Parts: sequence; C-alpha cells; structure tokens
Amino acid sequence: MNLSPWSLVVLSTLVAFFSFTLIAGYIGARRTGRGLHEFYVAGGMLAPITVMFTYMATYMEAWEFVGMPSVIVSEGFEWWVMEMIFYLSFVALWFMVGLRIYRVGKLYRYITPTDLIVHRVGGFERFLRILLAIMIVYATIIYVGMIYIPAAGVLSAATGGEIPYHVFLFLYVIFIVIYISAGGLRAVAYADIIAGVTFIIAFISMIYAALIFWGGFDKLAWKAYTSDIAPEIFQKTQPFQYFWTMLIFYGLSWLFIPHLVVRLFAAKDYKGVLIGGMGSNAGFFIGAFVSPLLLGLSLAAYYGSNLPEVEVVEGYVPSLFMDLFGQGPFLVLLLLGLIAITRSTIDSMLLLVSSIVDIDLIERGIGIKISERKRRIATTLVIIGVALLSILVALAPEAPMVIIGYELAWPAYAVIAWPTIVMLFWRRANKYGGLASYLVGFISLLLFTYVIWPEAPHNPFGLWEGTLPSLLAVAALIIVSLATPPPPKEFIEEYYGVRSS
Amino acid sequence: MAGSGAQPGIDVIPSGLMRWEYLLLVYLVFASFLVWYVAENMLVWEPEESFWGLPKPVAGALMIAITWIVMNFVLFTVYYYVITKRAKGMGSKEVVRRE
Repeated sequence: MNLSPWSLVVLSTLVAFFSFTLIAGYIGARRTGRGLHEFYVAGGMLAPITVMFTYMATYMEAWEFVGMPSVIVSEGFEWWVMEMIFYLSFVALWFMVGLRIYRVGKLYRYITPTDLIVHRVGGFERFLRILLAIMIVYATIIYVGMIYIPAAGVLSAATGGEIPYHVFLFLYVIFIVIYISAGGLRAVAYADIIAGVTFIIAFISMIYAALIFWGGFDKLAWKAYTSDIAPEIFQKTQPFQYFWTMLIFYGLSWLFIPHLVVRLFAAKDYKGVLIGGMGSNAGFFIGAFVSPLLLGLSLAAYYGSNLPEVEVVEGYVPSLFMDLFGQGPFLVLLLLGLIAITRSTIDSMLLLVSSIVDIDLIERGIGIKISERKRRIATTLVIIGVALLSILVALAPEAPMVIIGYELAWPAYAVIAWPTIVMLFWRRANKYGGLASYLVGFISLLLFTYVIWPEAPHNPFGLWEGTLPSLLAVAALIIVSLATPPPPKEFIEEYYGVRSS
Repeated sequence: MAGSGAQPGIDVIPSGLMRWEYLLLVYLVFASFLVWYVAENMLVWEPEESFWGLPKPVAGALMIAITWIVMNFVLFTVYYYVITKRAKGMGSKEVVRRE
C-alpha cells in the first residue's frame, strides 16, 4: 500500500503521541506512591489546578471538539442546544453535590464510586458491588466505543480517506491495549494535564483561525443561517418535553458520573473542589459552547448541503480545516489535540473499570484471595477485554457519536446517578430501597431500550431516553424504603454527622 | 471502605442542604422557563428576523450559555464565602474550647 507523505505524517502523529504519553506515564508512575488509594485517587492530594485540569481534560473530549459541530449539520442545531440546556442544571448544582461527594469521599477514604454507594446503602454489599460493576462496565463499553468513532474518523478524514476508518480504528485500539499492558494508566492524572494543555493550544489556534477567515462571529452566524442547508438544520424537531427532561434528568445525572466522581475523591481540600469546579466549568464554556458553535456554523457556512464525503460524520471537522488551511503544521497541531482528548477520556474510563474490577469485583465482590501480581494480570485482562469489546460500538456506527451518547450511554449512567444523589441527601433511604433502585433502574433501562421500545427515544412520551428508568429507580428507592424499617440510627448519625435529639 | 476518620476541613461541609441552597429549586424553575422560551421561540428558521443582531437560534443558545456561565461564577463566590466563613467559625470555636 503506497501512502502519500501527508498520510504518513498523520500516522506518525498518532504513534508519536502514544509514545510520548507512555513515557510521561512511566515517569509519573515513578513519582506516585504505592497502594490502592495512591493508585486510583492519587492519595487524595491533588491541588486545585490539577483537579481543574484533570476534570476538564477528562470531560472535554471529541464529543465537544468534533462530535457536536458535526451533529449540528448532520442532525440539526437543536442537538447541540440540548447540550447547552444540560449545563444549565449541571453547572448550577455542581457545587452543591460535588462538595457532598467530596465530604464523604474524604471522610471514609473511598477509592471507587461503588465504595460510596455500598456504604450509603448499608447492606447487600457483595451483590451490590457485582451489580454496579456490571452496570458501570456496560456503560463504559458504550462510552469508550463511542469515543473510538471520532478518534478513528478524524484521522481517516485527515488523510482524505487514504487510510480507511477501520484501519485507524484497529490501530488506535492496538495502541490503547499496548498502553494499558505497559502500565500507562498508572499516571492518568499527569497524562491528563498534557492532554488538557495540548487541547487548549489547539483550540485557541482554531478560534483565531476561524474568526480571521470569516471576518467576525456575526458574519459567520448569518452566512451559516442563510446557507442552503439552514432550513433543515435550524428548525426544532423534538418536542418540548425532550428538551425539559434533558435539563432535569440528563443534567443532574452527570453530577454523579463515576469516572468524574473519583476526581473529587482525589482533591486535596474543599478549595480544590471549588476552584477546580469553577475553573473546569469556565473551561466548558470554551470547550462546549464557543468551540462547537464556531465549528458547526463554519461547516454550515462553508459547505452548505455539499458536505464532504467521509466514512463517519465526525470527519467533517478535519475536512473543513484541510479545505480552509491546507495540510501542514496547523492541522498536525489540531490532530494532536484531538488524539489527546480522546485518549485522556478513554484513560479515565479504563482506569475506572480497573478500580471497579480490582477492588469491587475481585477483592470485595467475589472475594477471591489471589496474589497481588495475579490480581493485576486479571484486572489488566478485563480492561483489555473492555477496550476490545468497545470496538463493536464503533465498527459500523448507525448514528453520530452524540446521538449514541444521548440514546445509550448517558441513560446507563443516569440509572446509577439518580438514586445515589437522592441517597446523599435523604436520610430515610435504607438498604432495601437502595438495592431495589439500582435493580429496577438497570432492568427497566435494558427492557425499554432493547425489548419494549427499541426505537429512540425508547418511550412513547417523547422524553429523553434516560428519564423513565431514572424515575422508576427513584420511585423504587422511595417506595421500598418507606415500606421497610428505617436505617439504624447510629449509622445515620455517623454517616451524615448528625446528632439525634 | 479503605478506612474512615475525621480529617480537618471536612466538617465545614454540612451533610444536608443549607437553607439558602433551596433557592436552587427556584433557579431550576427559571431554567425550565428559559428552556421553554428558547425551544418554542428561538429554534426557528426565520432569516428575515434577528435577535441581538444574530440569527434567532444562535441568540437562543447564547442566552442559555450566558446564564450557566454567570451561575458558575456566582455560585463559586457564594460557596467559597459560605464554606470559608464556616471554617473560620469552627476554627474559632476550637480555640475557645482549647482555652
């Protein structure tokens, strides 16, 4: 196969980035101490600036950088507006919930999100750990698979399709497997900082370039709004209740997204939580609002309905930059930023699965007594299995990553998040209600998605896909808790730090 | 659990909601109204109309984004002030107890 010099540059960029972060991971691993608490949550000693960068780098991903701009022209502007609606509730309630998660995380030295859940539920620990591990692994497989799509799609589009999507998909996954096997996940927080900085440099360059080309934001907006694709993409197609349930059910469920929760456990003090949260939310304004808006409008303005031919729609963004600025160092910088953000998110997801398998399944769930070395091997094999299984989602994607996220991935997290957030504040919740809520939430999610209403939005009411299962989970929590004896007074006093009169 | 034990700086965060935090429910009502307004009035293709000199859908998205970024800074300031004040209050109680 004869490759053009430019395709070789794109390929080399991928190899160089993985090699560089592998070295960074190795150095980081030497700097971090030993022990599970050190390994998974950095010993709970991350400073505010590190919390901010790790949170932002984990959160900001190809979803914002290529997924959202592409969905604006492929599905419609409203799908990006829904993301903005999500931030209305997520940002406003982040400090309230984040501080409480940090509080109990610090007080009881939790390592995994499941630690928090089983402790608060206060019973059925083994069963619950196994159930939650299955729920989190299910969600992770969809999530990681969803990120593979832009990771491979962007690189393929950058070569003009010379190297096919599937070649990059398999290459990317092979690199991930090598990275995991070599222990690269050990210093995910340090690798995140590199990813965050790369992203910011790439992003600032992109805004500058986009504004100079179009001559100002308003000119860009009107050019897009009067293009021949505009009547199709700037009209609302979803009912109001879909938007509203995005605000309430989707937005709030992200307050307990497992791989971000562990970042709160890693914060050094409450100032770290507050400053890290404020800083990362401000970063989201750039990453989730300015960046997708500029790029999405640029796609509509430049191409109109003559969108470039790509294997997956996420390839529109690199195609635009190639058409605007040609092949060169600027595009390489953007590709670096894109590889960095996809990698940092996958790192966090797989590190979470690692902790779930290692601690929740092997140590505390199934309770197998094996040597530390065998445990590490078993954990690594499971992570590699998840990384490989996720390919199934990306092999022949039927929808853009954003739609897969809204429809399948985020609902899977919502059924974990909703009962957990309620239990953080509601003292009457007991172990029976807790167990029932996760069971009902997960089973109803699977039934609605794959059996009863297989067509999106998986309910006949026009609600966001995660709404009904989350509602049922919370209903089960409340009804079963009230129908059974309250949790022991001593436990409640200790957990919530209150004295009964 | 990996272990438990009181650590400095954690007691300042109350486990339950502080009274003023219930105001966030009022905010959610306002946010619901904003979502309704943008979804029903701004997500339209009307090239002859403009809002703030911008196409309506873009202006609608801007309204939402400005709201949440302002809330971010306002709530950060409020939480930082409240929690730091609680920390100082608890610190002085500690000193009195020791004396």
